[in-house]
Amino acid sequence: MTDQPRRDSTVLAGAGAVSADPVGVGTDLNLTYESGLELKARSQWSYARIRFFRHRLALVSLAILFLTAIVALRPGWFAPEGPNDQDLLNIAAGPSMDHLMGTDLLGRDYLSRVIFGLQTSLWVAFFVAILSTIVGTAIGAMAGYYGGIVDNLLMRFTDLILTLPTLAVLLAAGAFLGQQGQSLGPISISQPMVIALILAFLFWTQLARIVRGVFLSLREKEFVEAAKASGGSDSRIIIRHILPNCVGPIVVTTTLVIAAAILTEAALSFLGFGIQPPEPALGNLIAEGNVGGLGYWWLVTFPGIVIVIIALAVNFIGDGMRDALDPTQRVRA
Amino acid sequence: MLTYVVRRLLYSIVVLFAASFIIFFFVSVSNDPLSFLRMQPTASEITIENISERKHLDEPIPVRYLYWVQDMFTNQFGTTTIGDRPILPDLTRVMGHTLQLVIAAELIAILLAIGIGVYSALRQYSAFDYSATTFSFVGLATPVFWLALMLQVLFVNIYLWFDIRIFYTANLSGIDPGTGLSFLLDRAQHLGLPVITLAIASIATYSRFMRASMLEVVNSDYVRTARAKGLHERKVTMRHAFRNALIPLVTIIALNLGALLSGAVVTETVFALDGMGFYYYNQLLLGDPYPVMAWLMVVATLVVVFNLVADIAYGILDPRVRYD
Repeated sequence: MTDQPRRDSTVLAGAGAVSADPVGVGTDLNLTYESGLELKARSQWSYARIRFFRHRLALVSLAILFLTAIVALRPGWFAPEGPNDQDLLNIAAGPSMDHLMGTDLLGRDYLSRVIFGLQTSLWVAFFVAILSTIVGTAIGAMAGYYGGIVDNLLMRFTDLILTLPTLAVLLAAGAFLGQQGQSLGPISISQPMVIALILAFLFWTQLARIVRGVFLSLREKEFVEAAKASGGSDSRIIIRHILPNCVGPIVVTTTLVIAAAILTEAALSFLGFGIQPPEPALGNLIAEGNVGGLGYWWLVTFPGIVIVIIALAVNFIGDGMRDALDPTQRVRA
Repeated sequence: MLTYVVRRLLYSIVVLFAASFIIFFFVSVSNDPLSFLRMQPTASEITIENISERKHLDEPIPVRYLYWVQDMFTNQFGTTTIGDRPILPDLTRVMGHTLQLVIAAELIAILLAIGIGVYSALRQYSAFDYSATTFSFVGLATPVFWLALMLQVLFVNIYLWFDIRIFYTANLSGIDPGTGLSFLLDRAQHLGLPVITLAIASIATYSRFMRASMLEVVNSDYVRTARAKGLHERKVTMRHAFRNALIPLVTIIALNLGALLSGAVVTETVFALDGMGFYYYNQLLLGDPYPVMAWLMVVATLVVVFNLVADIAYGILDPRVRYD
């Protein structure tokens, strides 16, 4: 089955708008042709944006993620009660109008706890994404650009981390390093951040490989040679000339890392090797609910549903980004 | 080919040793395996000193590591710090349970996923395709431990409300399961829920891959040629398209198997199933480096082997791949 690009009446230009210009004056924004068709030259970014906005599911997911992010940033505004306020008349009560997600065994409003837990979980996922993106990009860029022994050393290190059984190592690290906050000299790291660091330490490898691949193929290209000939320093060539070409894969991988980080952190916290109990996180909320016995189904169900929704949204956004940022895809305009 | 395998294996051995030292270092530096004993008022100073001396706990970490290496090679991974319990018999027992679980779950998952993937590729954009896609997206976004818990919640409530008791996971190795049909029934009772959990998670992944690779093959030139020369549609699908579409799936399955043998940690812990993952979880809680290290070595070796199997299988199935 072929996937015919649909066309509507206003814009008829595909990705080849500029090259369709017979004289080669691709600089004009509006070119009128004999046929009377209106052509619009667009940058790759605007094509990407158009493609992304056509992806309905990704757009809805973005809205959902945006809302959860706002809730997570200011949980106090949205939570009906504090995370530790007790309602002693309604202990372990099922969902009702007073307590939409019920209350736990200490009579705490579960919706509020889920909202505060959401804050922790999203922060951790966010930090993991940022850290692993920075580390992965830096290592991949250096390995790909310099090649030779630098490449060999960095990639062997990457391989080493890739061969580790991820979950097992995370559990060990969580059990032995992540039970309390750590301090590195004057900097003290809070306990959730230690977990974020541990996750980031294992999550950068895939990105490093992808970025390295792009750098390997691009460093031989003429534009890099030109930049070198005109005296550009290594760091300038890496950052200004080659790195912009990797933005697509980087963005896509980062979204996938966010989803993986949320799921993995939840699993770690559930097993008790992740974020520790006084701090609510989606994973350890489920663990707390589980302690009460499975008759209190709402304590287990709701935080899980929140995790599924966030992970779904992030995955859909990743999908939309992949479609949008792939320059070989024709814009469905 | 042979040199490739040998080189990979040699490299893996180096990696395993490097990883084992790093992990040993972290486990030992951040943890005192005798802390439980120290909390016991009945354990005397002398007992603790004796254990500490016998297990070389007062030596510097690199020396302890060398003792561990020696124990691993000459003494079958050694014994636990407290209680001197030999590690290897425990490991083989839990390994057996995990194998039963993983093999059953993967067989079910592979068969179903291939069916789902192929059918939704052949009927692209049909209602079936959309539901399969939705299922696998939701499956990929669902934490395995939560899925396991929800199944437990479901069956516990069935028990509470209707007094029907099926799928209990406790006491897996308590009673002799017998042989033949009674063995199968016993395993189905005990392993039913964990198998369903793992199978759902695997189906979500595999069916996506199967669908994608089947779609790619179905739209390729040689399949069109096969149709053009007048082959029966079933023959085109089964002989020409299906067999080639399986290639990527084999790699994914091999990679996943390695991870599953260790990664069933979450599932086994939720169901308190006496398998590899639950063993590891318990040893982590105790903080004893010897069983933790033994487990990690076994699992890391399995992962390395299955990665290699994945690469070799790919090379055998796809003659375009060359090793050098």
